[in-house]
Amino acid sequence: MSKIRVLVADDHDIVRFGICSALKTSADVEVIGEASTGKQAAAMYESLKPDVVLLDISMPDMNGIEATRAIIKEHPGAQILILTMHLNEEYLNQVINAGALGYLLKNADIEEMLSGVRMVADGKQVFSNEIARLMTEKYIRSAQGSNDHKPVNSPRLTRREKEILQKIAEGKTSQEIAEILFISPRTVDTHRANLIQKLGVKNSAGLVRYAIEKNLLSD
Amino acid sequence: MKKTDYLSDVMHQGDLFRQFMSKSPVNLAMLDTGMNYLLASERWIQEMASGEGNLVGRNHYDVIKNQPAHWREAYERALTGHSEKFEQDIFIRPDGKLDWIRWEVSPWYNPSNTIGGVIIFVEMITQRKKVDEISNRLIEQRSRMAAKVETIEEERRNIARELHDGLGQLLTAAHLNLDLGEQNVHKNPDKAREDIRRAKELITTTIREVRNISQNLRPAVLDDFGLVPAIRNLCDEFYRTGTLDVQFSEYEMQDHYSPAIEIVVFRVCQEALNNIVRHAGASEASIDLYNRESHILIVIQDNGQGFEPARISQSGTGSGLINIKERVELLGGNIQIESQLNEGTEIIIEIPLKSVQDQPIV
Repeated sequence: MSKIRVLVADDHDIVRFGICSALKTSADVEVIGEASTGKQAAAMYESLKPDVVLLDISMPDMNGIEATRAIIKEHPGAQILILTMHLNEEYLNQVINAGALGYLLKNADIEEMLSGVRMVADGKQVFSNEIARLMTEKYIRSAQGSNDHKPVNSPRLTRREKEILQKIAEGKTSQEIAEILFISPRTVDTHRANLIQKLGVKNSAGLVRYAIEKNLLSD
Repeated sequence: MKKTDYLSDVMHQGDLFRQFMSKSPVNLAMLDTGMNYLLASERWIQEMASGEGNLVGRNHYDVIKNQPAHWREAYERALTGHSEKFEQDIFIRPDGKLDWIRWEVSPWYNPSNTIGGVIIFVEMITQRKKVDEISNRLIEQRSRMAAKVETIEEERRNIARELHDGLGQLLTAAHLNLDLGEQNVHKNPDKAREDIRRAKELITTTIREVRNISQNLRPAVLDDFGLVPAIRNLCDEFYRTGTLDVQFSEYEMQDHYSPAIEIVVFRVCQEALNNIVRHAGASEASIDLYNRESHILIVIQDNGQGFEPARISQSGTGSGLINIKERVELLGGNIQIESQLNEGTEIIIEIPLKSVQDQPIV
C-alpha cells in the first residue's frame, strides 16, 4: 500500500514541527513538503501534487482560505484539510465555501489528526467534534427559525424604514415626515437614500411605486 | 499768581488731560448730556468708530449706529447718576464683525456738582474669550485623556488577571501533571498515562481560553476575511448566545477597507450591540451597512425602551455611546442618534472613506 503524501503549511515553525512529528508517527502517512505561507503552499502544490494538504488559516502572504481557493481553482480535485485554532461559524462558512474537505481544530489529538488525513485522502469530509456541534446548532436554529421568519424574497425593512416609506408614498415631504416621527429631516433623507439603495429603485418615485406594489399604503 | 500764568496753567492742564484721554491704550470716551462726544481716546476712534477721525461734537448714535436698547437704557441711568457695568456683551462693528466686549458707563460731574455727561469705557475681550475657550477645551481634553488612560490601565489589569489567574494556573497544573508522568513513566506506566492525559485536558482548556481572550482583544475574522464577515460573525455571536436577535444586511460593501476604518466600524457595531443588550431591553436589533461614494453609512436600530438623547451628554449614562462618538469623530465621521422613550433607538453613523489626515483642517 502506498503512503498518503502530505503537504503541511503553518507559519509557526514549532507548530509545523509538532504537526509533522505527529504525522510521522504513522506508517501510512508521509510528509513530503512544508510551507510557511499560503502562497508557498499553493506553489508547492503545483510541484509536489500531494494527496492531502494540511493548511493553517491565519498565515501571512495568502491565508489558508485564499490558498485553498487558489489550489482548488487549478485542481478542483485537491484534497485540503484545514487545521486551525479558530472555532466559529464564519470560519466554517469560509472553509466550506472555499472547497476544503475538512476542518480540524489544532487541539485535536494525534489519532484524530491522522484519521482526518486518511479520510480526506479518501475524499471524505471530516470535522472536529466541536465544529460538528457548531454545524448542528446552526441547522437547528435555521430549522426553528424557518417557522417564525417568512421566506425573504424582498429586503427586510426595519420598522422605522417602513414608516418612512409609507409616509413617502403618501406624498409627504422630508420636513413633514420628520415632524410626524419626531426625528430630524436629515435622518429622513438618510433613510430615503438607504431605502432607494435597499430596494434597488432609482429615486423617490420608485419608492412610491414599490410601496404601492407591496401594498404598504394601507396600514 | 498772575492771570496769564493762571490761564496758561489751566490750558496746560487741559492739554495734559486731553492727551491723557486720547493716548490711553483703552477704549475711552467722554460725552455730554446730549450724548455728543467731548473726547475720545485714539483706541476708541480706531476700534469703536473704525477710524473716523475727529469725533468731537458728533453724536454717539450717529457714530455707532443701531445700538441695542439696553445700551440706551444704561446711558440714561448713568445720566441720572448710576454707573452701569456689563461683563459680557456683543459689539457689532461697522464692518459687521462681532466682538465680545466688557464695558462700563458712569456719569461725570461739573464743578457745580451737576451731571455733565457720561464716560464710557469698553474693553475688547474677544481674544481673551477665545483663549478661555481653548483653555477650557484643553482642560476637558485632558480630563478625557486621563479617563482614557484609566480605561487602558483597567483593561490591562483585566488582561493580566486573565493571563495569570486563568492561563497561568492551567499551565502550572499541566506542568505538574507532566512532572508526575515523567516520574511515573518507569515504575507505574498506567499512572503515567493517566497523568499525561490530565495534562492534555488542561492544555485543551488552555487553548480554548487563549482563543476567547484573543478573540476579545482582536477579532481574527476581521484580519482573515474582512469587515463584512466580521460584522456578520459578530451578529451571529449575539444571536447564538441568545442575547439578542440581530439582523444584518449590507449594501455594496467592499471586501476590504483601510485597517483604521475596519476596526472603527467593527468596534462601533460591537459597542452598540453591547449597549443594546445592557441598557435597551430590546428583543431585536438590526445593523445595516451601506457603501456610499465618499463614506460608509452604518444604521443601527433596536426596538428597546429608548431614551432622551439629551441625557447622554450629561452624567455617566451612555458612556458606551460616548465611546462610539469619540471613535467616529477621530476618523472625521459624524454620528446622529434618534431615540424616544419606548420607541427604540436609531444610530446613524457616517465614516468618511478618505482618511482624516488627507482632509484640510478647517
